[in-house]
Amino acid sequence: METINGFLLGLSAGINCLIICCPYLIPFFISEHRNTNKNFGLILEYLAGRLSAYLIIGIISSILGLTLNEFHLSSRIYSFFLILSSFILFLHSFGLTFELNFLNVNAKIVTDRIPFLTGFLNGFNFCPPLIAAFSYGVSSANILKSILFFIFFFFGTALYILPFIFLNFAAKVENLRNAGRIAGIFVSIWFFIQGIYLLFKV
Amino acid sequence: MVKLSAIKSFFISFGIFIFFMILFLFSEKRGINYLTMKVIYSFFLGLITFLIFFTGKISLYRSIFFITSAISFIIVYKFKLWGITGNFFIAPQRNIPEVPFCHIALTSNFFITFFDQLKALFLYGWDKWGFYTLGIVYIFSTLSIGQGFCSWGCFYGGIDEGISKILKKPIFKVKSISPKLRDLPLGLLIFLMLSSLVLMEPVFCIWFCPLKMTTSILNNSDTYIYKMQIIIFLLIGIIFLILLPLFIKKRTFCSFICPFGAFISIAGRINPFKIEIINDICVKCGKCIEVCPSFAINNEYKVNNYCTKCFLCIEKCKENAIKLTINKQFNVYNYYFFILSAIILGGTISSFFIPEALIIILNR
Repeated sequence: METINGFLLGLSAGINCLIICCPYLIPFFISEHRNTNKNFGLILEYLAGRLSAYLIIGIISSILGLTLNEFHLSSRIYSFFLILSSFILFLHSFGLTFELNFLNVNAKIVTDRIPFLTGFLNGFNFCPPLIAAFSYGVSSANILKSILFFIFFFFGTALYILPFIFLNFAAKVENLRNAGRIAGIFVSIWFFIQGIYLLFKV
Repeated sequence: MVKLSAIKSFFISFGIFIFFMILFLFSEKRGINYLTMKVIYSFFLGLITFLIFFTGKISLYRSIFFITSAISFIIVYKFKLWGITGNFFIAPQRNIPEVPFCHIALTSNFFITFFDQLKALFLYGWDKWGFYTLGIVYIFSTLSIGQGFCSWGCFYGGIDEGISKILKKPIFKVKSISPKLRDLPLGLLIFLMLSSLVLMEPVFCIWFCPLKMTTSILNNSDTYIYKMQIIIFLLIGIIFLILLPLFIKKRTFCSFICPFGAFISIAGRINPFKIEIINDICVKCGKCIEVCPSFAINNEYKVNNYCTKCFLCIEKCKENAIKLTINKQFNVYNYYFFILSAIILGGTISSFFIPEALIIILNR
């Protein structure tokens, strides 16, 4: 039952995940031209990052048995992860735009390693579907059931993320590649401001 | 370059005059005042067409038409706002019905528009559905002249162009810029589309629009945010719409901010009209790079997708090395096709403002 419920919740609310992940994924995938296979690998890494975050949330929710209202830290945690992921996106986009090296690490190498980390950080975005899933985990009060629920919830939402693989067609155009990097800078600044605002508002 | 005899120019311009007179038969606004102004407006378009074909000075007469359109737009919109709210800039009420059908907002809020259209379709909201469809038709119609819309049809573009024409010579000479910097509005467009989708609100209109067409939707409830919005609005307006165009004589708002220009630089690739520099003739004097108001010619003398087809480079090139091509083929008829298409598109869009602006001016 957990499997079906989790999958259906993910499927019905996955459009939220798509909207929230768009600002990270679109600039990331159009900023460099890669082949479809490479993009597929990067998406899997990103999704693996999200799955890890979901599993952690699943375990915490079932162990602690806390509701999100009591779990007042959720917004603060999210704002912290938002700021962190904005830094990563900024380093990536800024590094690619101006062809800079950070701490002797080429931006391109960093680029290929960030999908997992970004996915992990994005996974902590307590959006409405995740709150619903969290509540389910709390009510189940069973670690195994909760993990199973979150894994299938993840599969349901992941279906919406997969089409990003095909953004490599847009990345063929040089103007769009440059624009993707610039958009990445704008998005990172926006998320940084939003993160700070949220941190102090809570 | 196009230059015709007086008789040929007259017949072409008379055709334009008749075209717009017929177009106005279907117009909503009637009455003797409107009729007179429509005749005057049709005559004005005919005259512009005549002067373009007779003198061959496309850029000069295009500019006159373009700036007139922008001034008329400001007069009409701001006076309507004044009539409704008693204020030219900050409108206290929400949902001002007189906000123009803005192409910049349509593209930067594309996902919201698309979402709203789907919603209207599923909820049988045909009135709204029709409105959004009209918006999409409007955007597609701009593709008929591609990025040329930015120099012939856009009713905002004439503002920074007008200001850039005030001084005879630039105070600071900026010849060319990094190609990456030229992609800034495209990056901004992607950001605006995504952030608008996430927040489900028109981010460009609220935060970036220097004309603040929709000041009524600023967030008045949070003073801190409201102040931030006003600061950004003033900064972008003063720097990109007034100071930079004045000092460097370039269209800086259109080149570095406008998301619609960015959209059409990609979508407009399907348009066959292109400005090309013929390398065998070009002596690389740099004049075209210097005069281009949109930073559309790079140091390798290649015209990029941001060319707004203002024809200034063609007129300034003494070697006659710059041509208007259709699918890379040059023919003198290319000019006729393009200019007539541009006048019909630009004239149709401006027909919503210029006759009404004339009435407002005469009534006062």
